[in-house]
This record gives sequence, C-alpha cells and structure tokens, in this order.
Amino acid sequence: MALNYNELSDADLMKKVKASDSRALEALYNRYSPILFTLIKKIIGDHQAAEELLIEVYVIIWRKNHYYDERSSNVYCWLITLARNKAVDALRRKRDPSMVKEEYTDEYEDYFIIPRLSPEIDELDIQTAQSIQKNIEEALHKLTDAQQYVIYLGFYEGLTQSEIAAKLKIPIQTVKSKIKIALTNLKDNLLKGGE
Amino acid sequence: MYDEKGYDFQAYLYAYSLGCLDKEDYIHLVEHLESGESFPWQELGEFQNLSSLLPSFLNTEEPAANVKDRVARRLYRLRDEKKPDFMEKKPSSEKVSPLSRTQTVYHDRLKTTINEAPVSVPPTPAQVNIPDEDIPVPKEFKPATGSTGRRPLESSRPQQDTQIKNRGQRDNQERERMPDDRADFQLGKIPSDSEQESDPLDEFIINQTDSIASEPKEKSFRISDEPKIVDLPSTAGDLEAIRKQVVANVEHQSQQVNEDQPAKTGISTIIFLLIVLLLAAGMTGLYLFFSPKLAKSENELKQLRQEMQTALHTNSQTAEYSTFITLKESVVLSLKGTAKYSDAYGQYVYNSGNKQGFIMLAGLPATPAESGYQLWMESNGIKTPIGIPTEFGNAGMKIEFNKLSFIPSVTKNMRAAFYITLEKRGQQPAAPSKEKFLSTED
Repeated sequence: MALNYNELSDADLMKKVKASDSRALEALYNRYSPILFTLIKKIIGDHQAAEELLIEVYVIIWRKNHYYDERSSNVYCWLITLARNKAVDALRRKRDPSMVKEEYTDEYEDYFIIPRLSPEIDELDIQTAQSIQKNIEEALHKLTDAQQYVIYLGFYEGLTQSEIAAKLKIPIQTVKSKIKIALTNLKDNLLKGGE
Repeated sequence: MYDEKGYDFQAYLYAYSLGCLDKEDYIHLVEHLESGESFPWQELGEFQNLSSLLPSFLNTEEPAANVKDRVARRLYRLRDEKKPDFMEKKPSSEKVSPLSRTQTVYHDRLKTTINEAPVSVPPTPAQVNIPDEDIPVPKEFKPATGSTGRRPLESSRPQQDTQIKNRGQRDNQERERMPDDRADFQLGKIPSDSEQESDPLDEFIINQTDSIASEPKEKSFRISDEPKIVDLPSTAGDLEAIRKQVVANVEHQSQQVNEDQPAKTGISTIIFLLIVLLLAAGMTGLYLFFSPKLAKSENELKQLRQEMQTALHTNSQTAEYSTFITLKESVVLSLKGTAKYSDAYGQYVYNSGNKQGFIMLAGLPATPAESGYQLWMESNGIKTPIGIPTEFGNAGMKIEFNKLSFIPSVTKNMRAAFYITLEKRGQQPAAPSKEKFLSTED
C-alpha cells in the first residue's frame, strides 16, 4: 500500500525529509508554502522576491534539515522562524547597505538564519496553529496600539530593539519593556481566550 | 539572570523570540545558550511558539505554480554541485540539538568583534515606565489585520535587492535553459543519479563530439539545434576523455582548414585577376569602338568652329563693308577675271580719305602655302603693291593698305589700273608677276 504523504504529521514528514525523501519535502511544500509565502511577502512586500525567498527557504530545509531537532516535534515553529529570519535578513540587507558587506555564507546562515528552538518547546503543527488563529487575532487585538506596533515593527518590519527605539524616539530600555509586556499580555490573552 | 559581564539574558528572551535582538545581543545570548548554563527554556519555548503564531491569521496567498518546479530544479543543481555535502551529511538518527550544535568558527569570529562592546545597564524605572500613550503609533497602523496587503506605512519600503535578487535571476536563467518537458517536474520525482539531466556543458561537448564524428569534413563547428540523446559520462574520467577527444578533433580540423587555406587563396587570386582582365578588355573595346567616332566628331567640331568663326568674321566684315561703301569718298571698282580665269571676279572699294579699302575676290584657285594673292596699282607706268588680301571668300574682304604704297593717291583725273597677281608670302615684291588673275582693265 502506497504511503500517503499528505496524511503524515509535520514531524513525520520532517523525519522523512531528514532521510532525504524528496516526496516528504514536496508534501511539506504543499502544506506550508502558502503560509510561508504569505509571511515572506508581508515582510518583503514584493511578490517575485517573496517567491525567490520561498525557494531559498525550501533549499535550506532540504540542505540543513539536520539542524531541526526531532525531539521538539515543532516543525511549524521551526519553519515559520526560518522563513521569517530569511525574509528579515533580505530586508535588512536592502535597507542597510552596510549589511550587504557581510557575506551571506553557509556559516552566516547557520548562525543567523537557522532557528534555535528551545529544547523544551511544546509541540505545534500547522493544523493546530490554524485552529487557533482566531484566538491569536483576538488576543492581539486586546493589546494596546503601542504594544501591537512594537510587535509589528520587530516581527514584520525586521527592526531590532535599538532601531525601534530610534524610530519611535524612545529609550531602548522602554522598547525592551514594551516588547516584554506585549508578548506577555499576548500570551495571557491567548490563554484566557482559550479557556 | 545576569552573567558576570552584567548581561540580563532573561530580558533578551522576549526580543529573541520575536526576532528583534540587536546583533551584539544576539551573539551574547547565543553564546550563553550554547554554554549549557541555566536558562528559562520553557519560557523561551512558549514565546517562540507565540511569535510563530503571529502569521497564522494572515490571509494566505498561494505562490505561483511554477515555484515548486523551481525548488526542484534548484535542488537538482545543488545535488550536482554539492554532492559531497549530502554524502557527508550527518545521519538522521544522530540527534543534534539546535542549542548544542557547534558553530565555533563563525561564533568565535563574532565574539572577537564584540568583546569590547558596552555592557547593558539595567534600566531604571523611569526609563521603562513610559505609558503606551506616549509611544507614537501611526494613525494608519492596523496590526491586527488578516490582510496580507501592505499598509500605507510600508508602501515606501524599498524593494528587495540583495543577493536574493541575483539568485532569482540566476534561477530564471536556469529555468530558461531547461527544456519544456521538465515543466511537469514534481518534487517527489527527483531522479536518481543515472536519470538526472546532463549539464549544459556536457551537452555542448557531446554535440560537438557527435557533429565532428559524423561530419569530419565540416568546417564550421556548431551546436546541434536538436541535441541527441546520448549516454552521459558517468565518471569524471569519461568526461575528461571526451574533452580530450573534442580538443583533438577540433585541433585536427583546424589543421585541415589551415592546409586548405593556400589553395583557396590561389583560387581567389586567379578569380581576381580574371575580373581585372575582363574589365581591362572591356575598357579597351569601348575605347576602340568610340575612338574613331570621337576623332571624327572632334574634326567636325573643329570644322564647325572654323566655319562659325568665318561666318562671324564675315558678318563683321560685311557690316563694316556696308558702312564703308556708303562713305562719300569711297570708290568701287570691278575686277574681272583674265582669259585664263574668266570665271573669277572681284570688287575693290577704296577710300582715299581714310586710306582704307575693301576687296572681294571669287572664283580664284587656291593658292600654295608659300604664296598669296597681291593687289597692285599701276599708274603712269608705276606699279605699286597696295596690300595683300588676308583671306579670300565670296564676301567682301578687308585688306590692309600699305601707307607707303598708297603715296600715289588716286584722283579723279588720274588713270590707274588695279590687278591681282600671285606672289611669295613674307616679302615685299618689287614687281608684279607676269600672270594676272583679275584686273580692272580688259
């Protein structure tokens, strides 16, 4: 009986990808390319560039899947963070000419692009994420505009804490505090919404 | 949670989860995470998950259908280029923790650049407790939107133009080089090494080899428009052998071309000379054909020019003669041909007042080159040469009177005779020749 890759979990697919099963990679592509492409495009803002970056992301998944820790069973977070890091890096290189001088090497990619997930991270897959997307949206809405804005600047605009501070003309310590409060409140809102 | 340098790594946790740590902080945190020291891993995991959920409510958009094929092609190429990496890749059963992996080379290099970085100072309450209302949030900011469309705030963001773009161009070029039959390529159908497509360079070499082998006398080396399907070289040795064969064949053909070159040059020279000769013959023929006609035309032109000059001169003389003959003192005398020259006749008009005269002669034979006709006046036995008619014609001809010779003026009472003889040119005759051609006396 032929194996139906579409029925496999994210974790199982990733295991097969690590075993160099290209059909598992194709299944991961079919499953994740819409959300990864949407995320990359939101960060980069250009359709064609987003497609190119999406290709780069899947190449990384194929080539450097050994960095994925099977124990975490959190393919979703690993892929989202990977795509986000890749897009933000491209955006920063465009925005900051001095970054272009920093060569994009394998070492650089391993260090700054490949996600480092906590070994104690909970399991999460795309089905679960999609099932709670309304809760996430509601939890985000409950934040103040300022809290939403610093999250937006940090996550989608690719600004660092010091860049956010410069942009908002506020001390960097304030930015750190706002990010901490925003994420903590978001978590609390999400937990409350799920109850 | 501070380290010995005063870094608050727990404070980094949130920004790290969100992905907005500054580079130096990021490097310090990664160093700490990989050091094995205590860290709130559970909390980090929660916020990493939380951040990854942020895009989950975006309205998803599908990438273009061909992106999957492009991924597959990129993987093809990567496998060809970096096969050793795949082969040396760690087995999947080997557990590698993201936080325990050693990236010492890059890590150590980065550490050296930030060792002297300023240490963060724990914030004061006044610095942190800025109310949210004081943070300048743009009015158009609507973070909790599910739309993937960009807000006005983002519209000024420059387009991506990094190495990614170049990669995209490179990928497009690769795609253009791909035959159409690969359009349906699926990720799940990545062929084995024996099935994989050939490198464009290999195809080029194969086409070259095939062309040279089948058409050994062909001088132009070209890539076949329809590459033939042949077995690809399986090893680097085979490829090298084919390269050597191609080089040898190309050198051989180049040598043949060089040997044939002198013959080609000789033929070209002969053809060139033949063309030159043909042109020369043509020019000569044309010259010979037109030369007599040109000469004839030239003579005719010369004759016409002379006649025209004569006519003009005659007209001029005639006009002057007409005026001269109307003068009061002008005397008109008829000259009659002698017995031998009975058909000849003439007319002599002279004017004693202005010492000029005109003479018209007709019917006289042409004179030899060294001789000319001479007008004489004979009165009381004295023979005086009056002048020599410069030309003869049917019209009246102007003659120059010798002033000296005109000393014996002709009066009404004076009896004088005038006649024409033939004398030597260039000298003043002392006496007239015996033969008279025309005369006023019978």
